[in-house]
Amino acid sequence: MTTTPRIKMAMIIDDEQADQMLYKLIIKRSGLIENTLAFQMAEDALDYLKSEDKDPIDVIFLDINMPRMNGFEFLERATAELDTAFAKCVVIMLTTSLDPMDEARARKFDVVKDYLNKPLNVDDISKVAALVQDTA
Amino acid sequence: MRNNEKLAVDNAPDHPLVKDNLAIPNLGVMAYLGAPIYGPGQQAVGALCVVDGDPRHWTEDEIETITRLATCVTDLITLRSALLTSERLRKEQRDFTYAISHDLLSPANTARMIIDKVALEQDRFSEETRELIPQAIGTLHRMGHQIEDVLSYSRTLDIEATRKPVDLNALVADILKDLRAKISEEGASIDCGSLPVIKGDKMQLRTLFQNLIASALKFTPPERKPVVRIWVEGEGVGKGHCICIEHNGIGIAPEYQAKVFELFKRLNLREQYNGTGIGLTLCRRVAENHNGKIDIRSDGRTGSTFIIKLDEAQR
Repeated sequence: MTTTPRIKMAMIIDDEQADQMLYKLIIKRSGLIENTLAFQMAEDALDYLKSEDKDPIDVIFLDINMPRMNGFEFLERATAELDTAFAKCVVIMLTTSLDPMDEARARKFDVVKDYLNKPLNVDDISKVAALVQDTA
Repeated sequence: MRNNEKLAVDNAPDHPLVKDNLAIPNLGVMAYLGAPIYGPGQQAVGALCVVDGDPRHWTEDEIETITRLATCVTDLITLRSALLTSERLRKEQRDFTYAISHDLLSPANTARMIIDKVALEQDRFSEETRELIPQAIGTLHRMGHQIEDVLSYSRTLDIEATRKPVDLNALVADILKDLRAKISEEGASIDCGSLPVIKGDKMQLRTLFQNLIASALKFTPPERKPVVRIWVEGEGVGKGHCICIEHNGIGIAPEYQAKVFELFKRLNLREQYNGTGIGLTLCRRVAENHNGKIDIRSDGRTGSTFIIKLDEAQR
């Protein structure tokens, strides 16, 4: 019998406080993610990923429309400025954007493994957990 | 001309294509030079032609000139047609924005009523769920705001701007009266110099100044009291007016100065500085409607100056 895959650490980058709150509730309900680290500004998330004493991140949930640095700019900067650790990361786009161009643009980044439309649900989390296990 | 090509006839009675044309006996046309004019769909809609009562040789230069003139006419037709199309699309876009905004308000109101009803029983909820209620109300409230702002944006696009003298002193005084609660709450000081009377659309200009003054009050860090200064620069020089609105707020870093005018672009988290990201887009629109433009001067720390240039020489 296979055990349900579990994620140790998920990073959430989303400017919307209410959405963050709901993600945490859904993640808790799924029981598949042990820890979460949330950022409202992509710049702060990038700084964290650059820091020496960061925790290893298994998956990043990334919004597109955010003030100052949007999701695409984050992906560009992270790809250019972070070491190979980022390349091994699983990034899941989590957005309200209905524009197919946005999805195509996001999928061009190798680290982006899936593109989810809000709202997030528990099934999405199981899918992502399986993805993270496959990628590891 | 049937082949969509230019036609040069030196002596009509000798020319196989036109020798039977009635223009020869009836109008005495002996020589003909014509170049096709095209409509928007690339089909020839007519020809630009010159004729002579005597046989004559059309020189290369003459053929070249007539071809170029015909191209000019074609370009004009294309341009006129593109203008009509763009005007039609603009109207369609406006109607669409209006309809969709309206249709969004109604479900948002319904959801709000549902939540209000649910909130009556919140004592029975878990702590976790109870916390979601104000979030839901806040979210719907914001949605309402966003829709209202989109509507006001589309209305600004819509109205053909009128051109009547508007006294900016009275306009600003009016706006300050509307904002007086906010001004005293923030402990703001506002210094407005003497402003000109300009020709323009009063509603639109009001939107412009109202947005800029309100954002001057808003984007001030909590530890500072807003200081807003409004003045004109270089009055009497040239035909235009240059009005500056300066405030000591958080400023806009140079790399974001172009971005802030884009629709729905925001630089700050909602919890810090609320907004829908429409205000400055609307301001730029009003300035452009008045043959003007709007610029930002800011170091990104100690404040910003918005410079509105409006051209008096309007169509």
